[in-house]
Amino acid sequence: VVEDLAEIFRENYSTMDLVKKIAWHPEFLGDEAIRTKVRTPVERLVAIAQGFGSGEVDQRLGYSLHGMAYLPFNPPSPAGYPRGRILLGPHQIVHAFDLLAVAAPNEYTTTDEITARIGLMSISDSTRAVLESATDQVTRGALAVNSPEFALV
Amino acid sequence: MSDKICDLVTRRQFVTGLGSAMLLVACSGRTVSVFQPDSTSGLVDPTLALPNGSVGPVTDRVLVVVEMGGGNDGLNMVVPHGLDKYYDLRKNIRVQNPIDLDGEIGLHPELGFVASEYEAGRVALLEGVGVPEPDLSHFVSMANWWTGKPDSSDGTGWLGRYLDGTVGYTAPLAGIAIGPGPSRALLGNASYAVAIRDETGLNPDLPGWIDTPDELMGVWAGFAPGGAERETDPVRQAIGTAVEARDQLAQALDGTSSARTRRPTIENELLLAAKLISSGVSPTIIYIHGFGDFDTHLDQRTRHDNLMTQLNAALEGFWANLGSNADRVVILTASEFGRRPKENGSGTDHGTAAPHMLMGPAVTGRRHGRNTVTEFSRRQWKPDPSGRLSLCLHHCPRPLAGS
Repeated sequence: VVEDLAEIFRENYSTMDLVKKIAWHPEFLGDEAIRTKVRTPVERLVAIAQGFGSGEVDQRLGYSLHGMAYLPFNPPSPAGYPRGRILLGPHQIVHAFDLLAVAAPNEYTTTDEITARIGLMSISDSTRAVLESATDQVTRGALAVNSPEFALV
Repeated sequence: MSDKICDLVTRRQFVTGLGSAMLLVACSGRTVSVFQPDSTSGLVDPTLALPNGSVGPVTDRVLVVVEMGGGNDGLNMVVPHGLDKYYDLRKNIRVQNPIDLDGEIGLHPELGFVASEYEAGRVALLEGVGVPEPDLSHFVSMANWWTGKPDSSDGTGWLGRYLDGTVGYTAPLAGIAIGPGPSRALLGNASYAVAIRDETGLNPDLPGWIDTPDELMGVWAGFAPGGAERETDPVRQAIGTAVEARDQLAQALDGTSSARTRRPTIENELLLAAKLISSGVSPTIIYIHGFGDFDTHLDQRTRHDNLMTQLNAALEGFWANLGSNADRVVILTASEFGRRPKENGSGTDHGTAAPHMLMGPAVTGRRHGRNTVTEFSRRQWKPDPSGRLSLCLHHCPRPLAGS
């Protein structure tokens, strides 16, 4: 990929051409590139807030994000924020439930309503079965934002 | 141990040598074989270590790292009371009446239990521990300690890389952080580590509209059924791993929800560590962080005295609670840097090298590393330039363990 991009860039050192090449590259645009990036805690938080509306922000959010090494503007080390599969560690995904402090998903009842609110256009049968088994919409919403599909973007 | 061995550890090895099971802590001219016989260093009783040549991903040995965040003042923990310079540089915050060890150095008077363990041969004092190019920033210095690779930006930790090379994703409870979140030292590229704050184990802090996590987590486990779907999906594998880790911790800790309100003190954290070690969880590494504030710019006498009191009581309680498990445990203290020898008002500023402790029945108790007590200047300690301290959990590369 890098050689591909470098070849274009070397032709005339045009940043515009390089960006176009990146944007149309199969590695960027192809099916295999979809749902491969692990959603960061901040990306999870934003999607939850967008999907379920937001009341007052709970102060525990800051503590939770800090514990997940994702406090905005305060990376845990000079190497920056963790990324990739590290974000699927037991602490990270269990405490992803904490992010629901930003909004209570209690206005939407059905699985389709809930998944649409958080931008999940398709879910597997097994994920649907788990969501359907929830006894109330709050639990269903909480499960949706911690489903395998929601973990990736 | 011969200095030749230390000389074999070049800076390049410091940076690159950590992908294996060799784990390197900092500079001191010492190779410390914790879980493998190492007659050259004399730091570990070979009868308590693994058989010679053993290389195994899992043993029942446990390393407990106690991170004294903020920069512990090593000069007031291991006091060079035989040196006039110490008293010249510290008129307000000097330690009075240290517990003498050898006429040259002594321990803080609140470290009575540690002193008795030293006398019994179960404490190794590692002097002059620092990094090659000290940085006085907490941020950078902690990163150096966590990663063991000052020039690297990959962000993995020295203990995480050890887990990568041994248990991988198969044993998330091999590395457990006790504190506000995962320690960067436990961060690996191909392994998980669990972080817990208290006896409640691994549970979310749910908003008030869900009363208990048990029902929610029970349903959540449905995302990770057995079979092909889980095998091929790393997210479902991760959920399954988290659920299993949570269940195992719940069984081991028998926690209560009220535990969450307790204060994060070193005493509480070490008691929790002892409980984990004695349970069926079988951790290899426990990393304790996020307790206390060792950044004593102001009011150091009172604050550091209190910290030493707490540390001593916590260590005493820890070993008492371990019982017969004590033989397989080693504690290592860590801190991002020491503090300057010259006091500044009622406290001290950020420094460089400092002494640290290895503690446990498997440790050969005495002073180790070059005596840097005489080498501190007004501003800084000088890190021991002769080499580096390596901590080998299982398998040290031949040049380090040999000759």
